[in-house]
Parts: sequence; structure tokens; C-alpha cells
Amino acid sequence: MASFDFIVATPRPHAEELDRGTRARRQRRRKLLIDLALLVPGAGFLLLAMILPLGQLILASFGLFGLGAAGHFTLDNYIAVAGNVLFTSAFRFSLQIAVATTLLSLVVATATAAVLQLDFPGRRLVGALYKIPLVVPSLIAAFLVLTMVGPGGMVARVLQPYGIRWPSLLHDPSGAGIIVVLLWHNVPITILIVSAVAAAIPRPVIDAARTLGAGPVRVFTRVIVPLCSPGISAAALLVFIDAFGTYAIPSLIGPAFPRALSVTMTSEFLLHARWGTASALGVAMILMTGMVLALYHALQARSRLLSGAVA
Amino acid sequence: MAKLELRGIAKTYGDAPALSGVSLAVEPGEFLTLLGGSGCGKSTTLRIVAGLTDPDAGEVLLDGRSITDTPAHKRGMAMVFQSYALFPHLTVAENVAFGLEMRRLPVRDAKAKVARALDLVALGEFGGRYPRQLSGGQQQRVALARALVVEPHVLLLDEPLSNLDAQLRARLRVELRALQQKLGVTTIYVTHDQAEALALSDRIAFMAAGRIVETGAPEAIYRRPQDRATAEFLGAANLIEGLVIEVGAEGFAVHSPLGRLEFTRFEALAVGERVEICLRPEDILLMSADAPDGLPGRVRHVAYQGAVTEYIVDPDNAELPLQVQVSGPSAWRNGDPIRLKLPRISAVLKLGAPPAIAAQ
Repeated sequence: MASFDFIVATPRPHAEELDRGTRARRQRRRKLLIDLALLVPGAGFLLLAMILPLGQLILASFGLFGLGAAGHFTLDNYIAVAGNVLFTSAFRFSLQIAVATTLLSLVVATATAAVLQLDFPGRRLVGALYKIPLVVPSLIAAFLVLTMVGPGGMVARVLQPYGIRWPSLLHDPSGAGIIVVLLWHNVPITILIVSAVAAAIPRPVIDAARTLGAGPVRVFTRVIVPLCSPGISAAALLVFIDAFGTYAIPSLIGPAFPRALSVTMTSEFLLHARWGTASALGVAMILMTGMVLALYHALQARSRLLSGAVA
Repeated sequence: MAKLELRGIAKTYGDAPALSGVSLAVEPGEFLTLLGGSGCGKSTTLRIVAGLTDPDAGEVLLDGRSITDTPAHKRGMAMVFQSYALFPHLTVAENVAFGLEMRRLPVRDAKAKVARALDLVALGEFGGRYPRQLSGGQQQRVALARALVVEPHVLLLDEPLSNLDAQLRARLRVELRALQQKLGVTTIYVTHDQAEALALSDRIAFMAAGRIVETGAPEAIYRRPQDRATAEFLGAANLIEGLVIEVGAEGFAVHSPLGRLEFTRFEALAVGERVEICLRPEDILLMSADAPDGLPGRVRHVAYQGAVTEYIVDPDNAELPLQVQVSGPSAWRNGDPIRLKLPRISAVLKLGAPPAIAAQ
């Protein structure tokens, strides 16, 4: 009896299980399709707007999939870039501009942000004035420099009768004019970011430092600057990337030689249609900003470790 | 050890006077507490002593020399804050060393002092940690070590225990007082907690509405306050209005809503003066209704609180509910008839005197 029961009873649950198995599989497949459909807007945008163009740029720099031509793998573009003084000087020039702009912005902005934490007459006015450059496009600032401090500009004309020769900030191989315009635009952004972080420093922390014997300078260097470091590094990242890739300003008021990387790159493909070298320059540019981004993340991780909770 | 003195300090924020005519002397080694409700000006007073806020008028003197115009970082004081205010980017040891570094002490000497200061607050093992890795109580002990290590002329404490839970607060209170007595540092302590003020201080200055209402040793200011605001702030108080009808060599009698009451005399009183008698709840005795003497009344409310039981009792002859506190569990219930025995000694507040300043 028992064995008979066993034989009759077993096939039924087995069949049900099989049925349940296929149904579950079908359900899983449907769920996967829905998941994929949901991914399309986000991932699709990334694919179209970032991965495809970036991939194309990188491949083109190695001579592959050039526009309108099937190519073969080559390092010629990079060799051409590294061997040509036009390109290496462009890289050095852009780097020099970016580093100078970043450092000067940070010094000016951090000091201003610290001062803006104090109460002094006219604080609100200063707080409003420094934001003006934020709403003026930097191209207009470049024109401002052109008309104000250029060779035939207002300052030069005012000084000329007194026999004072105004140094030319325009088309100046040191990039001073470009840096001035970039500062004009980036200092306010940096102040905005750094003062937001500075305002979050608890008042008693600064008061404690003061009663313990720290004068204004040491309160600034030993307490405010270290506690602002997350803002300082974030601002540095933004300023560096902006200054390193800036195009409009150097093309308008930059020197004929050296030229900024972005200007060189543009003329490579617009004037000479050399997509390969232009792509190699682009990759070099992305690598540089990528390195700065990596440095930023390392700094952030460190400062999070140190100041996780500001009481 | 230094003596600190305030003379006629005044401070106004916008239109609102924060302090007016604050004068105070803190003796070398003394533990003085500024006690008062929020907005009474106690923290502003402390900040003026520290040099973090400039007074509009008046003088701050340290050992007789004016430091009114000396900036905070040159006053040689140290302050502990309610929010601990440790430097989050520095280790515990670096925090404690901060003041020594500002004084340009050689690193070797500083290290030894930091180690000693951390031992003093029982955190010797924690030098390498960052503030966020410590509990609130530990952080405040670091802040205390950071302040004490510079051997300040005056130690300033702004509600240092208010962020801690009750048990920890009680324990740190004991530690703080022991430490202060051991080091003999002149200390000004700001709090709104009257129990804290009574337990810690050599002397309490009670503040209200930007003035010092009165100063006195904890027991004197609790038992015999001169002002109604002080009486009410320092603990529950039964205030009974009365007219002095008899003054003798030993005592005096008043006519009050509760009838004729007799007390031992302390202050100069005259017949016909209007006074307010202040009785603390723990000074009133409760007796059973068949006791031979005492004021008859009825229990209205009983609140058992563990160590003590609080009653509200309605006397039969007046609309004047009295608060009574008896140690131990409750012997009576709501509605029970009872007899009250009032103490012979009380604080007397004169109503004819300048009007009392209302507490916040």
C-alpha cells in the first residue's frame, strides 16, 4: 500500500513544480525587460552623451574609426603631439594659466571669505558686490579687459600724457591678461563656495581658539583654513577645470604664441582638419583634469576622515 | 590665581539692553557662578570677561589692572563651551596642545604638560584619537584639559554640562569641583541650572534682565534670598504676603491670609511693614489631622518622586495652596485632612523695598 501510494503521488507535485519553474522564469525575464526599459533614460543618456563621444575621441586619437575613414591602430598622433613644440607649449601654457588662476583665486577668496565672517560696516555691500561677476559672462569680461587695460585702452590713454608706459596685458606670452579675466570670474565662485563652508564653522570653535591665545592670523591659518579645506578643494577643482579648458578668453586676448590648449585643438580640426591630433590633444586634456579630480577625491576622503562630525 | 573685577559693565544689542551696571568681584581661587534664565545676560557677561564681546561701558580688571581693551587672545584666560568646541581637525593631544603652541612653548615641555592634563581628566589613553571618536562627556573633559593646561588666570565655563545626560552631568559636576579646588584656579561658571549652581559654587551671582540681582553663598542665597526673583528661581517657594503686627527681641509676628504667624527675627523690621514670607517646601512639616496644633488643611495633590514626595495642600482658612516636600513615600492621599507645621525661620522679602525685577 505504502509503495503504491508513493508511485501515484509523486508525478503530480513534480509536474506542478515544472510548471511553477517555467512561470517563474518567464516572470524573471519580464522583470529584466522592465528593468532595462527603466534604465534607458539614464543609461541611454550616458551612452549617447558621454560614452560614445568619449570612446570615439579616444579611438580616433589612436587612428581608429576616424570620421569617414576606416583606420588602423597607430601612436602617430601622440608622437606628433609630443614632438611638436606648438602642442607641448600649448599644454604648458594652459597648465600654467590653470595653476596660477587656481592658486590666486584660492588665496584671494579664502581671505575674503574669512573676512566676510566678521561683522564690519559695509559687510553686506561687499557681500553683494563680489557676486556681480557671477552674472557677467567671461567673454564680456574679456571685452572689459580689452577696452580697459589693452594697449589702446582707457588706462593706457590716461597714463600716456604722464609718460608712463602701461604694460600690455593683451596677447602677453605670460598669459597675465587671461589670468586676470579668469580671476575676475572665478574669485567670486570660489568665495561663494568657501564662505558657505566657513559659515558652517561653529562660532565657539573660533572663540575657543581666540581665548587660548590665537590672534586673527593664527585663527585664520590654524582653524579657518583647515576647516574650510573641503570647500577649498572643491573650489580648486572647479576653477582648475574651467581655467585649463578655457577657450573664449585666450582666443580673444591670448598671445599668438604660445596658445592655449583649447585654442590649438580647435584650429587643429577647424583649420587643418587633423582630427587625429586634435583627438590626442583632447585625450591629454581629459587625462590632466582627471588627475586633478582624483587628487580632489583623495583630499576629500582625508578631510572626511578628520572632520566627520563638526560638533 | 588672579582676582577679577567688573565695574559698571553695560552692553546694548540694537535697542535691547543686554547688560546694565554689572559690577562684580571674583576673589583669587574662587568658584563663582552666574545663575539666571535664558536672556538674563549671564553669557554676555562671561564673553565680556573673555574679551570675545566688547562692553559699551564699564571696566574689566585683572589683578587690579584694566584689561578692557586687551584682545581675547592676550588675556590669558581659557573658556569651555556648551558645545565642547574642540578642533575637529586636530587629535585630542593636538587640541590640548593648542594653547601651549600659541604660547610658543618648546615641544618637549608642551608634550609633558599635555600628558599631565589628559591624565588629570582621566583621558591619558585617548591622545591620538579625533574628537568625533569620543563621547560627549569625554569631549567635554578634553575641552576642560585644553583650558586648564594653559594655567589660565581665570577659567571660564559657559554651561559646560548642559549637553550631557543627567547621570553624566552629576558625575562631571563632582569631578569639576574637585579639579577646581585642587588647582585653585579662579573660575566663573555660567548656568541656568540652580542645582548645579548650588552644588558647585563658592558664591552665586543671580542675574535677571541684564542685572545682578544678588550675590551670596549657595546656602545663604537659597535659604535667605533678598529678592523674590531669586527666591523663585532657586527652587520652589511658598510666598505668603503679610503685615508685620508685632516685633520683639526674639521674633516677629505677621498677619497673613493664614492667620497670625510667628517667626524668628533676622532683619530689622518695623510694625506696619508689608512683607512676603518665603517658605521652602521641605521646611514645612505635615502631621496627621488629630495632631494637637498646626494649621488644618486638606491634601489636593500627591506626586511621588522616589526620594521625596511632593504635596500640594490647601489650608482650610485661605485660598493659598502650599507646596510641601517630604522625604520618602507618601503617607497621605488626595483629599486627606491634615495639619501643617510651618517653620520658625523664614526668608523675609520686603515689599516696600525697590520693586523686584521679574524673572524671565
